[in-house]
Amino acid sequence: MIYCPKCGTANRQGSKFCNECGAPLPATGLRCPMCGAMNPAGNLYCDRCSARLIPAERVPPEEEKPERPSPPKGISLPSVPLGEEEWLSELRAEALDLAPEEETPGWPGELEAPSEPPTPEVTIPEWLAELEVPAASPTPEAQPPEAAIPEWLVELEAPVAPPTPEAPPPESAIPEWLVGLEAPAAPPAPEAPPPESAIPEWLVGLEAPAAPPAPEAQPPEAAIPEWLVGLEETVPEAPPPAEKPTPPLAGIPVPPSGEIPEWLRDVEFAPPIQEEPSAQPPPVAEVDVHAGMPSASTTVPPILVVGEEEILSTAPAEIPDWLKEAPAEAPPEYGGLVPAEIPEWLRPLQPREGVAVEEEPTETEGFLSGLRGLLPIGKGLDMPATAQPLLPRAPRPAAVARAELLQGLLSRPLITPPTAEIREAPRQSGWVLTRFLVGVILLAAILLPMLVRLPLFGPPTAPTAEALFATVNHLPGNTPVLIAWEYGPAESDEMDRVAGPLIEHLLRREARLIVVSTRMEGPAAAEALLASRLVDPSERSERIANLGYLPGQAAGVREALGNLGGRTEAMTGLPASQLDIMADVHSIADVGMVVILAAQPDDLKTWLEQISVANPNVPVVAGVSARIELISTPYLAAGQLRGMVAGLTGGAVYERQLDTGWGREYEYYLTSLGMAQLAIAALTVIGALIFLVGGRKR
Amino acid sequence: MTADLIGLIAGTLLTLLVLSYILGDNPLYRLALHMLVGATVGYGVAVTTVTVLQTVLPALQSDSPDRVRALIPLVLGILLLFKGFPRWSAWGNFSTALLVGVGAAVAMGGALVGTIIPQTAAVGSLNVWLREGSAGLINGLIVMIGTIGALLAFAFAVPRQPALRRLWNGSVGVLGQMGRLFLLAALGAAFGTALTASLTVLVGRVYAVVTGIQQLLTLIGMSSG
Repeated sequence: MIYCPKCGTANRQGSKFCNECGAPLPATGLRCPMCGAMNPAGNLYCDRCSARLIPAERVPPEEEKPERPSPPKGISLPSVPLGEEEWLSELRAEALDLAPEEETPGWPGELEAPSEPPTPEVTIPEWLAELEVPAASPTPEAQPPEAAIPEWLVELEAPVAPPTPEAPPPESAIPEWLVGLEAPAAPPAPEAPPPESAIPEWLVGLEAPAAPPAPEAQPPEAAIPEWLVGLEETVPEAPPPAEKPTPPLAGIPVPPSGEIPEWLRDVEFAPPIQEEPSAQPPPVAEVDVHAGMPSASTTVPPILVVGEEEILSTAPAEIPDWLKEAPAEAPPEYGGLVPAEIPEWLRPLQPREGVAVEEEPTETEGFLSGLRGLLPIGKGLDMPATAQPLLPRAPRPAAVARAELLQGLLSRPLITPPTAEIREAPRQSGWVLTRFLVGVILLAAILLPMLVRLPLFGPPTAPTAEALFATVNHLPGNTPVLIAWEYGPAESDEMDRVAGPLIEHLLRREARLIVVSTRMEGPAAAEALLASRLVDPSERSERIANLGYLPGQAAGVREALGNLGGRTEAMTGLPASQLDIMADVHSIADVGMVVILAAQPDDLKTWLEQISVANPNVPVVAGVSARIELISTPYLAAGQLRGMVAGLTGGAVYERQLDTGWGREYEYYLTSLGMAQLAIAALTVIGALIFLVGGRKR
Repeated sequence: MTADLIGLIAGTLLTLLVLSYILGDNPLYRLALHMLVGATVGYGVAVTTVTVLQTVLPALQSDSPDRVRALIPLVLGILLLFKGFPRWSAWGNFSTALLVGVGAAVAMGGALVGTIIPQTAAVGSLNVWLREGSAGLINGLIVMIGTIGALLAFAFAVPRQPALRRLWNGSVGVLGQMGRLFLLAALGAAFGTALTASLTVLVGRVYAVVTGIQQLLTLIGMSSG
């Protein structure tokens, strides 16, 4: 349920607007970061995709620096109405205070796992590897990645390494003797220079002075060490600069004192492999970098080795004397490699040992299960986006009442279908006896006039029947009269007493009767009555044409009214056009009068309406059942019907006017009908009294 | 034994079977009911066949222009038969549309010209009032009030504003109550006329049964007629 903040009405979960007042409802619930489905507040997992809705929170240790919450990518936080969450802004301000801008986020360090040394193959700049060759120590394994400066390296960057003799000074700390070497000559490209982007900035300064001077370049006087001055005259003319890149050795700084530094001694004692004749250096490694140096007796090319991998072999060259004079110290061998010591200035670059690495929290649930180092959720963000201040006031009594009413309705037991009771009721003997008594009473009321033969009721009156009698009485002889016979055997007990006197009157007036019907049983019912009223059956073909059934309801009537001559006589099967009675009758316009004998209201209306459309001037009279007497009266009042005989009463009136000899039967019928009506009225009153007195209790 | 006598006896028996329903649902009543339904359907099929097919088929065999005119309804009728097969029922859509459309148009035109306009004119006609005098005027007022009241009897909505609600209850509500009275009177009268028609049929059936029994007694010589 979501309670409306405006009126307090309880609304269905997930509603956006209040059902009572239409006010927008606060969005409660959690939106799944994976499928976007809304979930009820309190869900840990999505109902649709079972993704975790609230990331697991890791409580950082106290000594850990507070981290600035970085914007999580790919995670949709619970939707919160904007502008309403003060706590969120407070948390954000607090987090900003705790985490200074300059501080590097801690999460990269966590991801790097500093306890594990990086792989050396791809991270060591080549020129730096050369420096480490003599050492043959595991130091290269601790080299940071090429593209990223590790944290322990960053820390070393700001405080410049102490100016040890071996340490490559930064650019600002380049000794003067190196500065002189750097300026004059454009250094040839090294064989495999590290990409510019891969060189740490503080090492760039070291790389530049390492370039050897071009052979033609003359260093300034002040920059030439003394031990090189003597060699200057004896140096032959330098060959043209090699097209191939300069070997990395050219970058090694030379101490100004003329002494061989330790790192140069290491280079000198690198284990050569000249004993193996097949170990010819690859041509790509041939660099004539020592061309200007004194020739040496040995022609063994120096081979730089890192570990067991040969990474560089220079072209055969003579070892200069100053290299030969270098003190030969027998380094201890270690597996064929020369152990070396990490220079002091490189030692800070090593990964710190003994630093306890905190175990990364591992996700154990959801689609991220098994992953480590997930971002912990910031404080406050793990809370669902339910707007606590908006949550409920007390619901209104009206809403509570409606809810209770609904709950009561829903908790009611289902109403059993009353079919069983209905079926059981007739089986009760009292009900059967009641029905039998009613039937007996009605039969007695109907049969009593036949036995007693007493005129219990006076002569009936029916002004409409009298008007109809007058209309027919003024009808000229041999007038074609269209009769719509719209009743069947089911209604013939009543309608025959209505239509009989009227048909006989028409026959007496020597009218030509053209019978049609929109009911399938109509023509047969008409034929039975006509046969009973026709005095001379041989005159039938001259007086009566039964055109039969008109299919199509209103459309059929409309069609027949316009094409009476195109139909077929139902009894003889002859076309109407071949009948003498239909010789001058082709449509409704040729008819002198229309008689509608209807037991159902729709039949009367259909004929009246279609006649009004086809030929409104033709006089229309009707003989109808008592059932539709009320419906027929307005047409009579409006003049659309010139006269009407309704029910047994109207037939009796017409019969009395016509005096056909059927009056006695009508008298019996009327007496029986009156008695039956009285019986029905009496039974109704008795039943009402029984209900009021005793049956009401049930 | 003539056909009329057989018909009279059969009619008497069937009437007694139907009237046995007064004792509740029973097999005799069911038998009469099934016979009535079966006879009605069979008679309908026969009448339709004779009336429709015997009119159309001879026209198709002739050389007159009626041949083409008879062919169109025949084709439409055949297409209508496809309505009995769900897979092919779409073939009968045009015929159905023609029937419904033409029937509705004819009925609507007839209702407008034959009922609505004449009845409205008759109620408001000054000639009727003048012809029938004060009775006609009163009758017209009653009809008008009854019609409006019956329509307003089905107005269940009320305005929200209290003032309009009071005005509504004082006008529309009163007319609606009067309309309900008119409806009660009309329904009572309709029930009375329907009951009268049904009792008339019952009287006719009882007389038919009595007449049939007398005929049977005459036939077997137990009655002098």
